[in-house]
Amino acid sequence: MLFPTMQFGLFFLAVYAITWSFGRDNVARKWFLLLASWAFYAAWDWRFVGLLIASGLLNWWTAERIDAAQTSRRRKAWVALGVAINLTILGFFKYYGFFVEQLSALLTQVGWERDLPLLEIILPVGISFYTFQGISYVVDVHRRVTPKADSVGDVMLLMSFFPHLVAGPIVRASHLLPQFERTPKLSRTLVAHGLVLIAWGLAKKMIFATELATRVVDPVFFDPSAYGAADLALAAYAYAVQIYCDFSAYSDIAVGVAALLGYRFPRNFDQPYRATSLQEFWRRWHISLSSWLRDYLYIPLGGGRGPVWRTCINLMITMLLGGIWHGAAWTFVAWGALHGGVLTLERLWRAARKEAARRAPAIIGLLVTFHVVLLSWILFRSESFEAVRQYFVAFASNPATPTLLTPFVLVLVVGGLGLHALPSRAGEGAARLLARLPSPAAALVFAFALLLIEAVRPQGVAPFIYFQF
Amino acid sequence: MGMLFDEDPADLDIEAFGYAAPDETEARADTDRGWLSRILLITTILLAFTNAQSLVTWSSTLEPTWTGRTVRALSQAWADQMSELGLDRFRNGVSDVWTAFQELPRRQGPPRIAPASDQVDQSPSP
Repeated sequence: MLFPTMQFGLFFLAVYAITWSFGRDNVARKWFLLLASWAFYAAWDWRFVGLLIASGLLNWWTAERIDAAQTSRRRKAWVALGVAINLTILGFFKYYGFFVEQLSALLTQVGWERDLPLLEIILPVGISFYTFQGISYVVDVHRRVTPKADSVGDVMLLMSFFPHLVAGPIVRASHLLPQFERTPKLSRTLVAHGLVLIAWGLAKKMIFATELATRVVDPVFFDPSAYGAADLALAAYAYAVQIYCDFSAYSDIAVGVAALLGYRFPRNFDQPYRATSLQEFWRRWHISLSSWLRDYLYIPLGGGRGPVWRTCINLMITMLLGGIWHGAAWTFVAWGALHGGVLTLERLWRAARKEAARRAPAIIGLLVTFHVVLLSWILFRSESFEAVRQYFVAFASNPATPTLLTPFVLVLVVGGLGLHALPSRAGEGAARLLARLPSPAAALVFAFALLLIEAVRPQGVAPFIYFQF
Repeated sequence: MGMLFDEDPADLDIEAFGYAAPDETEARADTDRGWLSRILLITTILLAFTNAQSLVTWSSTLEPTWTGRTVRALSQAWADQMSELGLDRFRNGVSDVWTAFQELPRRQGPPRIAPASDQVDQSPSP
């Protein structure tokens, strides 16, 4: 069930009406939201609802054991077991096929060919997101960052809550569990902001992301050798806009939908292409993942506490694993390695630079950072290294005649990048204006925005890019 | 906001909303919920009138069961009724302008050499 569909619209209206009909009965509301979230997940594949429930039960039980453990050693043992089981589930569904393929190729190369047990495993949608949420819950209970949940239902809802279930943001237990414990209350500003985010997210997904994917990105990356340098460059810029508009749209709609139900999610994007360094980029892009990687991987590895070389190794490990989190393919590992490498260079540069040294103008940093990210998106989008090679060979050798550039595509690419020039909290300004209106006028504005999007959107809707992760 | 990978805890849990959660009274929260409910209700009604074509598009994806066929027939009848009243004009007008913008270079480019079948199809109807 995709957000920009009539099916989801009807589902949400029903959930909204029933949820608020519970009044101050918070327990009934949470159980209903849990059932609705499972129904939402079952719309993709009902068989994996069992896995979601099992994962929730596992994390609840592990946290109970951690909390009941008398000694630090026992607490450590329980948290290690919880993390290991979570990673085993993720590893089996997401990486088993990849691992067996690599092993088989390796054995063939050394002349020891074997029939390995290849399985056709379907990747449950959202498994990377809810597994990371589960891990953060047990680790936070172990670290005493958050107390264990009051009930098993709260842990299940933390992991299954439908707005963030399939593509984030990764909402921590310390953020959401306290909200589950009290009856949610709405405020005009909060819901006006939710409505603005929903409309804004729909526009980004249905206009920018979908049109650019169909007209430029998908055809070019399907067969890069058939295009010249101009089209290939256009496709890279178009993909930078597409992936931002696609993923941030999902996060915006998720935050907006949760707000209409009375829950506040963390911010997941903050105009990432405004970053003047790669380090800053990761403070603005998929913030819930980058802060997760920092708190549960980078800092436990030692973070930046040791010598510079040790910090660089920690950065590389973190980014390599961050890369493979996105998918079981070497291109994602290379994408992570590129980011880790540039972050390492930035770290070394900062360590070597004298305090008195003049800083480069911000615009240079912005352009360099954006183009490093752009290059890395080519790795991220390509199906294989062979496709990456074809892309660069065609870029260097094919005639540069543009065939895909039209005024419409140009407006989408420039407009998509231009979104980053808006004031950083523009949505809040719009929400404050909306909140001042009486309900019929606000409804007119909201309906008008939705009608405009409906009028210009293409037929059908492709799944969000991050569903595959 | 702290720098990522600098172990500054200020990065954690950045609110999507740049203001603190208001400490609403129950009465105030109920009023605001009423405000939202009216918005959703009015928006649904407005879209049902002005965007009936979306209902038809959605219903065409339903399974061809008795329910699916009934919903499709009702959606089509509703969309025809709205069309007769002229309530789909705004949506169609915006859609036409948008399509013209999308196809801008083709109109300005050299005339396309149309295949014979196209030429027959494009002849003006009496």
